[in-house]
Amino acid sequence: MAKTTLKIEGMMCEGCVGKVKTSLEALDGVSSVDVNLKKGTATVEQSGVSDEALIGAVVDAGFRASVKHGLFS
Amino acid sequence: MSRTRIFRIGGMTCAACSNRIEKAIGSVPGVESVSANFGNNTATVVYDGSEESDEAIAKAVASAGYTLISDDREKAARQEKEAVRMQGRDLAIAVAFTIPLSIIAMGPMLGLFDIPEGDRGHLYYCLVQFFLTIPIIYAGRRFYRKGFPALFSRSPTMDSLVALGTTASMILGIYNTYLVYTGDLHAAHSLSFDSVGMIIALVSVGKYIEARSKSSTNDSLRKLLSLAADEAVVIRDGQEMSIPASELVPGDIMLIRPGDKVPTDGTVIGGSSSIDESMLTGESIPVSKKEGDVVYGATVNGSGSLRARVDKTGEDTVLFQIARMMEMAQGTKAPVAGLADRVAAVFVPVVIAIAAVCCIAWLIGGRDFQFSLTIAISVLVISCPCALGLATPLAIVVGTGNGSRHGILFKTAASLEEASKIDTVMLDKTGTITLGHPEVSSVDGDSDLVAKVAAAESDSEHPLGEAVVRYAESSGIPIPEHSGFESVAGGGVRCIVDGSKMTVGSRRFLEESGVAGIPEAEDDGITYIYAASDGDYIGKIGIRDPVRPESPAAIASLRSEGISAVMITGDRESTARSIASAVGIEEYHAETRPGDKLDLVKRKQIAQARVAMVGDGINDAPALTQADLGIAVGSGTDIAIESADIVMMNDDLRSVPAALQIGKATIRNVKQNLFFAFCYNAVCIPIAAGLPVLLGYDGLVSEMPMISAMAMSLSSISVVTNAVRMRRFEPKALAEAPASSP
Repeated sequence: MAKTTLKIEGMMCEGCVGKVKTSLEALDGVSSVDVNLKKGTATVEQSGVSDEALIGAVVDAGFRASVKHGLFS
Repeated sequence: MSRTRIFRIGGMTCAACSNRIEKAIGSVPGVESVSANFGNNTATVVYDGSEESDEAIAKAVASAGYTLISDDREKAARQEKEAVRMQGRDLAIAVAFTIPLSIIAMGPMLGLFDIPEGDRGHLYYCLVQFFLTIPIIYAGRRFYRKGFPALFSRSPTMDSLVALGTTASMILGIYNTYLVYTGDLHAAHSLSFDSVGMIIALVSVGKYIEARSKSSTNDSLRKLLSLAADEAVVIRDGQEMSIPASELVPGDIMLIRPGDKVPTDGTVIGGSSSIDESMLTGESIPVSKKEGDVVYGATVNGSGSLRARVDKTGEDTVLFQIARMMEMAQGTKAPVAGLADRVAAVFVPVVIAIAAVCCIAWLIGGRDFQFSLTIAISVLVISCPCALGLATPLAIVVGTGNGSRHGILFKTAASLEEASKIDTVMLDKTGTITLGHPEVSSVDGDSDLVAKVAAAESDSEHPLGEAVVRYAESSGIPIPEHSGFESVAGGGVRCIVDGSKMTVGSRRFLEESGVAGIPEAEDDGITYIYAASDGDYIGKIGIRDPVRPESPAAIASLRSEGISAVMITGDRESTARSIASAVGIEEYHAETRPGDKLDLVKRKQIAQARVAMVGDGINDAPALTQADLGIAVGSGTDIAIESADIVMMNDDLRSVPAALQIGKATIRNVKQNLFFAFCYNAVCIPIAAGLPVLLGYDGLVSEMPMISAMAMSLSSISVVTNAVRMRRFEPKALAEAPASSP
């Protein structure tokens, strides 16, 4: 189980959060999604999901995303 | 009779919004229950279902600061216009009361007149200003309605800053009026009612400009679907009958006559023809159809008749799918947060912190509560820059004005900002890089080949044939008489010219007519018309959609800015390759379907590119909407123009790099303006915070209204001057001479 943090651009409200969350949760291999509206991030608990698939899910929901790289990733 | 209806609500930004909407709708007579959901922007209402209640609900939602999104698009357009009209009225009120208010407030400072003598005179002087401020506050009510909730949800916006600053000014003004009432006449110099007026009036000017410049309505979907055929001729029970297209069911056999719109998607089971699919694919050359081929609804039949089996109807058709893709892309496209709001989000908490710290510091420093609170409020007053409201809209207006002077129409403010960030431009080939209509490019045969082919094609309505006729006419080649004209749909024509039997058409058509000696087809991206006289091959005429003369310069201009250009086309590989190399594009995608363009944009976005899409066809519409920035060619279809953020009015492809350059220049100007708007006020904060008192100049604090008025004027002048300066901006892409025709 790995943790990926995405930086998400364009979220305005809880409605946007809902869209991003639903879209990410629909991916196979994603077990939990935590979206933070204020920071503009989504933390995804997943196994074997590629960065591209995660970003793609966010783009499909109508937002822009990039993977945030921490110190140890 | 109670009924349940789901209303779509616009403007919900947080959980608190749904509560307010529930309260607002719940108070409408006739409403039994209501539940608002901010997740999907809806409110489910159980009510009497009357039209009066519909209107009352709409009003209640509007007065709570939200909008009811009407499913009726025309009504929505009317509502939008009404909203702009209301903003204009509010602006007029604000300006009408601010002018006398400012004159009264500044008069004594400027030495125009003195404050009336005595206790009464001073008090009246204060009260007149107070009463003049009330209608201004009313005119600025939406700043409070939106600003305070945003502030309390700890995501302050520009509205919050306006609400905070004017409220602080109001409190300070009322407090000083009270002081005058108690006999401290000098307090009449420290009123701050005029700040309220100036801030609301100026910010309202900005908001009004913004609202006006927004595209009034977007009814592209309605237009798109109006392309569908209304009537269809079907064969049922062996009878030919005309029925409304909406009554078609899969399995019906439809008859498609020459010139008809194809009623819906189906498979050809008999006949042959060529069909103009340009409204779906953007490709100008008609596609020939015979048994087994698929035809699409809303495309236009050429000169042959077809019988086709209905495969899909209504919402399953390609036309509807495109409409749905567009609707989804529109619905999910995130609004760009305003720059001013982003600055405000940082500035507001900082200012509140400074005000609080000052207040506490002065209390600790031994001053009384009254003095300390006055200091805190003064800080809040001075920190609300009224030029802030002008900084963005003014630059946007000058930027869009600059654009339209160069034939570039920016539809929204957000499009200018997005234009400044673009790093990848995707271009649809036909009608964008090329002119979009076929022209003769080569003649391979005897000197009278063109004359003969033009004669044979002069009755043809096929665009390729028309291109030859046009070419003959413009080259002054006389077109001989012909007789016995016969058109074979999807193949070519036969007729008698100068006594010999001409056969003109596609390679396959000539082969099927028994003509020998036709040269091998070349893979050079050119479409050929072959001709035979009395069964002998006599030559071919090459036809292609020519590249716009300025296309290579436009692509070069993009590359020089480090922006990569990608070409997408529904056309075949060989044509795509030759066009791409002619204009200097390295990456191209040929033989794409409408959905492919959308996917390609998404793929680029996933790879972190900022994508601008340039297109002209209906098939480009979903990609135009999905892209970060959609650019439509002005001569393109209405649907493309409406889905785009930017329209190139003059069809000059160099407008694409020019638009991006104007976007960059505008955003730079906005940032400069924001700096000018904030810097004077920021400099004044220490004065308001009581620094002069520390240094021993007690008097300066009572001069605060004067200083604040000066800061506001200076920042406004700087902002206006800087914005106007950009009117002279010339985009580099257009300054370079256009390249000669390739």
